[in-house]
Amino acid sequence: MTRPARPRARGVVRQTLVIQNVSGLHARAAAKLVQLCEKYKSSIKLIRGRSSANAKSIMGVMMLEAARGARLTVVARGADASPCVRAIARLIDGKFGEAK
Amino acid sequence: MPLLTFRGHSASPGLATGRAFWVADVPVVSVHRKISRQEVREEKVRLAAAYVRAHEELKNIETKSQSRHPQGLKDIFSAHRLMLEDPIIRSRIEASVRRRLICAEWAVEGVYDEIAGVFSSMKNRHQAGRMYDVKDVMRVLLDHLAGAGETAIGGELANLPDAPFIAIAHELSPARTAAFIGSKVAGMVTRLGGRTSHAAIIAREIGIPFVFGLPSRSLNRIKPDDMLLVNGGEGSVVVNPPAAISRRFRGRQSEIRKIRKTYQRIAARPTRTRDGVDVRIWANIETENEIPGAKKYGACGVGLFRTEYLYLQDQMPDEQALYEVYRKVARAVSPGSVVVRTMDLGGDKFLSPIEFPSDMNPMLGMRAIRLCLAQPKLLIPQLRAALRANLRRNLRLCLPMVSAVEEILEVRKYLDHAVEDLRRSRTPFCALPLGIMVEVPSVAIRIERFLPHADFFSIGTNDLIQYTLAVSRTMEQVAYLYRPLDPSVLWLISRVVSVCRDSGKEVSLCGEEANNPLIVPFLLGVGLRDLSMAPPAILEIKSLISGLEIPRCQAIARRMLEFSTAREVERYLRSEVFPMLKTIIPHHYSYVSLESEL
Repeated sequence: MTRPARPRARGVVRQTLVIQNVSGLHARAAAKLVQLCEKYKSSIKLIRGRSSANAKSIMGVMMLEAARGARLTVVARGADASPCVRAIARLIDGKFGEAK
Repeated sequence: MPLLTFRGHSASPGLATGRAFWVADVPVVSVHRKISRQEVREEKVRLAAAYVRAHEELKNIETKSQSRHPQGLKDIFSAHRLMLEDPIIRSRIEASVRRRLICAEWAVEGVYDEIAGVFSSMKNRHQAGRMYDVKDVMRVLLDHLAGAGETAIGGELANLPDAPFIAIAHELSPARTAAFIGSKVAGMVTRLGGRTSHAAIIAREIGIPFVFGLPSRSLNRIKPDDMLLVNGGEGSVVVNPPAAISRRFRGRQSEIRKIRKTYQRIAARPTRTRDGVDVRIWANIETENEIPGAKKYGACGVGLFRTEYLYLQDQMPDEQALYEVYRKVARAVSPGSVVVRTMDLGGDKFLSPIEFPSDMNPMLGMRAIRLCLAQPKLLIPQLRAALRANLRRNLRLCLPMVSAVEEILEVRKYLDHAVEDLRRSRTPFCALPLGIMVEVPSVAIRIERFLPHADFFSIGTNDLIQYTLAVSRTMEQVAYLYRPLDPSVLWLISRVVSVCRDSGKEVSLCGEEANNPLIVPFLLGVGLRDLSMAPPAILEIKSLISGLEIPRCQAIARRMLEFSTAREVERYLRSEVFPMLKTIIPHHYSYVSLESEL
């Protein structure tokens, strides 16, 4: 369930994604996400329900307790926000490269 | 004397004998000291130095696991390193030193304890288990603050026994478990831990039994150098057993070794059912790195080479880039053959350099072959690259998401053009077979119409299920309808296979159903003889097949096709097929999850 990322304000891109891999945002998946985000200069926030986390903090990401089926909204702010959100969407939609 | 047996829980299966080796719980005598304002700077310097050394230590472990072990292990250690380097935690620790005027150790403990507390209160058992990782990372940092980091683990490494040993500890940190990699460790027994703990994952990856959950008082009765029998599957530990028990245990060990050997023998042999029917097992791969593994497990070739990752870069691959990858794969798999699937993007996946028309229902929209036909500049380089890379004559091209005959005809036209162009420019190439994925119901229902136009057919179950049942795989509210065992899906598979076989066309199946031991008898029963699956699943499916007989599979398939609901199919599998599987592959590692699937 991905809609194309669309800039709202200048340099701010947001997109909602659904976690699809069986074990959710567990440690290894979170690690992949954080490592990806570290490559971008934008500030990146993940929002799940009422909690949110800095996507460059693995503890923060893990504490979102995002299991399979959880909806996450990615909000990126910065010059490379667009490619960054696209890359995150690919990782999540690609189930973090896991078999299931 | 009564037999001293302790019971815990299974975290990694297997049988092991060895002498007990106590892994010292390095006591962290943590300093809790108030500091003066002038000392804040100094504490920060100490903290920074500890961070640098801790980072190096984790990095070393990461590299070590990378060179010898599968990707899984490396990811664990990457996660640890990231937990250490977490920018938010570090700034919280520094703030804590500054505001509360406490020493670095105290601040580290305070912040990590708070986080570990949050994890341990999580409902999801898997997540709650992460508490141990958090504590582990904290321990590494604290060790280095005390100036004892390397010595703690490094010292243990130097003193590991030369004979097979069973590691005993109250708690085994991943870093400590990693220190055992490559040693004579034969098994592990602890009080704390869990099936999803990193130590458990490591144990399973290096193939040793791990029992956790022994109460303190039991654990403490194990003395250094006691002889132990560890049954990882059962979660039991026997201490100093009498000779008769040891003998029996060793008997079972050799039995299991035999089964393992059988698996290895099976890998080397072509796959054949018990009544002598040949089945070909192929590998699904995404990158060329998976080929050595696929070969080791005895795949006869690559049944599905997904090429999407080539498009998920910042730049579109040009013909030359595609050619180089195809050629590398063709060479690595040779003499086996490779089915290259053309780009299957759009829909739920993103294609970076290409702008997609926005679409309310992308799975039914502009994707895969439709996108390639709408933008020939995407398609043509793939065709030319495949032709050029086929000098060994072991490549085949497969089109995803075909829904109408015209699409094949159109691709053929482009293919003919490409052949013509290459011939004219005297570029070396070889013609190659063109097949299609059967994943849209319109193809499955009228497969006869497609027979004359495609050279081979590959059933893609994942999409076929979703399109047949009109269920989005990613929408939570309807996910319960995504059922591989739906009678309509089973019927479509059986029909496609029988029509293709009757007309002598090659038909194979790739997708998650191919490596589900429960469904394999059905697949053989309807006549499939080519299955393509993720490489790690191959050995087991091969050994399963070697215990099956075709007439029995046919009876199972006939029966499965008679039911009117997925629930009935499941019930039948549970009562009839599941017990049979257990006799053929008794050591299937995930029976628990298989059973819960039903």
